[in-house]
Amino acid sequence: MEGARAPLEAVPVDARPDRCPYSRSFTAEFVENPCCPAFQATTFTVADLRHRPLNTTLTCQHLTVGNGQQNGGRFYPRCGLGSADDRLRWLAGFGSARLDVVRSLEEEFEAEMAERRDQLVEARERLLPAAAGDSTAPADFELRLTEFVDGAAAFIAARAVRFADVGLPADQLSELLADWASTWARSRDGHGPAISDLPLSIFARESPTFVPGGNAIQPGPPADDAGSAGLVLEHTADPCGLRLGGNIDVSNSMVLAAALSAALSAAAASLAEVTVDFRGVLFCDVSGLRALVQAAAHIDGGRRIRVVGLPDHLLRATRLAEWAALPGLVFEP
Amino acid sequence: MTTITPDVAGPFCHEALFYAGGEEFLRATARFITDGLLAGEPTLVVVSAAKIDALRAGLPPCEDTVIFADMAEVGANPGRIIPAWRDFVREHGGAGVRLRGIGQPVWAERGAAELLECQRHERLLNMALADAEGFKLLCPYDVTTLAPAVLAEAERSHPIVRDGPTRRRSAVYAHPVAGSTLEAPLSHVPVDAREARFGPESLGRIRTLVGREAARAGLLSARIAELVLAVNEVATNSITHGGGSGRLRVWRESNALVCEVSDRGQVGSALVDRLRPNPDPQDSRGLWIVNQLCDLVQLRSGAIGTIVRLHMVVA
Repeated sequence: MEGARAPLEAVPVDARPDRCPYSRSFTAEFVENPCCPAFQATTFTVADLRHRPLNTTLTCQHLTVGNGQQNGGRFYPRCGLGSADDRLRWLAGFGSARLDVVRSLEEEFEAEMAERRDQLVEARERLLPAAAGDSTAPADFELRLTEFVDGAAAFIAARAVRFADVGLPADQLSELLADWASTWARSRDGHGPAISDLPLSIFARESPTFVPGGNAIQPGPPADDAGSAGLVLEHTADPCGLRLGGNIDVSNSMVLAAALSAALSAAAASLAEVTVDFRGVLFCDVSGLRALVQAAAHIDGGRRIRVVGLPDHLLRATRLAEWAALPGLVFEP
Repeated sequence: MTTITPDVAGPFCHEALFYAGGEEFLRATARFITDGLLAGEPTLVVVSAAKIDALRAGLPPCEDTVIFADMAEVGANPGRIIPAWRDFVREHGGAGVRLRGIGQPVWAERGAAELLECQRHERLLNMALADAEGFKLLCPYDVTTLAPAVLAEAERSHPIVRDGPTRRRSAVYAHPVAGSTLEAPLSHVPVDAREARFGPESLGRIRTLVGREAARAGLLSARIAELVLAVNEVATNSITHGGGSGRLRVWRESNALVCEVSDRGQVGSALVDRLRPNPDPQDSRGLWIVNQLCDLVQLRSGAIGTIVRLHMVVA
């Protein structure tokens, strides 16, 4: 029904949850210490109206343009991932360490390939009508394109294990990048090819469905920096237990311990299991694991804590701490 | 030089075996193992895979009494060897039972930091196994490939030395006293190391820094996550036991990424990172886990503070 549609214009542009809150002239300093947990640097070449490159700037590959129509004709810088919570959720699903690898690969690609890309952009410019009459231009362009594609393939091959680590098989990636480069080369698109131009979906696996509800407790202010985002915990009814998000360390593991004991005493004594969902957690230290173990050690006979989505390195740490064999604690992927 | 007769029983016996080349190694160690076999003494041999093959070929079937383990697996990080010996003593030892072991942590190809930790390990053994009565441990050193300084250090860390046909007391053996092994020197920190000071509010920031530098060094995501966890644990120790703050430095060293955490605290026991945690969940196990996760851990502590260096090998 037409009349039931929410008046989107009612939300001011500045208050839109998916508005990028950062200064968009991303600096090298921002790349080094990104305040945004999900920031992924990419280069963007600004071109003039005749598609001649003017200069190259840094941007974020999640940055898009907000729907102008829904904003009464005003554009706004929109984060493709969504709100601050969405960004943290995306990161938890993807994994901080994997994002570190992706960021480093992008950085290395820039360092190694920027010169060849600039030469390619320049060679394409000489193909344009304005430069017509330059008979060496097409051959030079083909040469630059080959150099770029070969260089990119060699770059990827030399890092095949690391690309595979973030879910990108090297041979498929090289093929994809070569296709992308030749499509780009024959288009009028302003910026040159970069690894981050590849669709984000091949990097990101599905993030867990985790929506902090009205009863979520946030012990600290919800910081946007991945490292300092506080612990988010939510009591869930079905399954009975806790859903966790953010960072768990010595600054807040006592909050987790208290919530665990509250969840255990609130759960009906007839209930065999209390579920603790770790899928939204960005980081958890040994004090966080200890909170789980202590809760499990005090649980009544027969009942248990089911831990869902504990990452592999924390499962390993739990085994190394000789905590994995507790009868009151079970782990599920 | 005093020649002494073999011990008949009694306290833990830690001997260095100086040998020249593979044949001499096989002759001396095979005899040591055979003597144990004849006496029915459970034996654990932790040497290279190649030496295990050579020993097996020359020995009678002995799988019931002799356990072989690859030093490259057990002791790539020398900080994990003491727990292996203590496990062996706990599982096979007992009142009146005599045990034997051969352990070769030191070989010529060890990197400088690894060698330093192997030497610390050899000294710590005298403390960590002091209560392992009836246990005789032989540590082979190849005099044809090891530097004279390495052999001199072996004389200081082993009360008894077998050199060719003679078996003698080391004149320079120094029994470790509390803290003495925590003062061994460390290599210099490069001037271009990344540095960050931290306090209770900035653990998140140093996790971010370590993750980024680890990725830049080429580590894979699983190892990055483990290193970030390990550095966080050591930094947490600085916050809770080390004066509330500390300093992190990160740099590349030959084949590894090194993260160093330093603070003003003082570690009480030199064995803190290599004793299995007791079952009480309250008992601290941060450094134990760190020592299991990292490829090499260097712990130093004294009146002026504590330094913990964590190494992750970059493939």
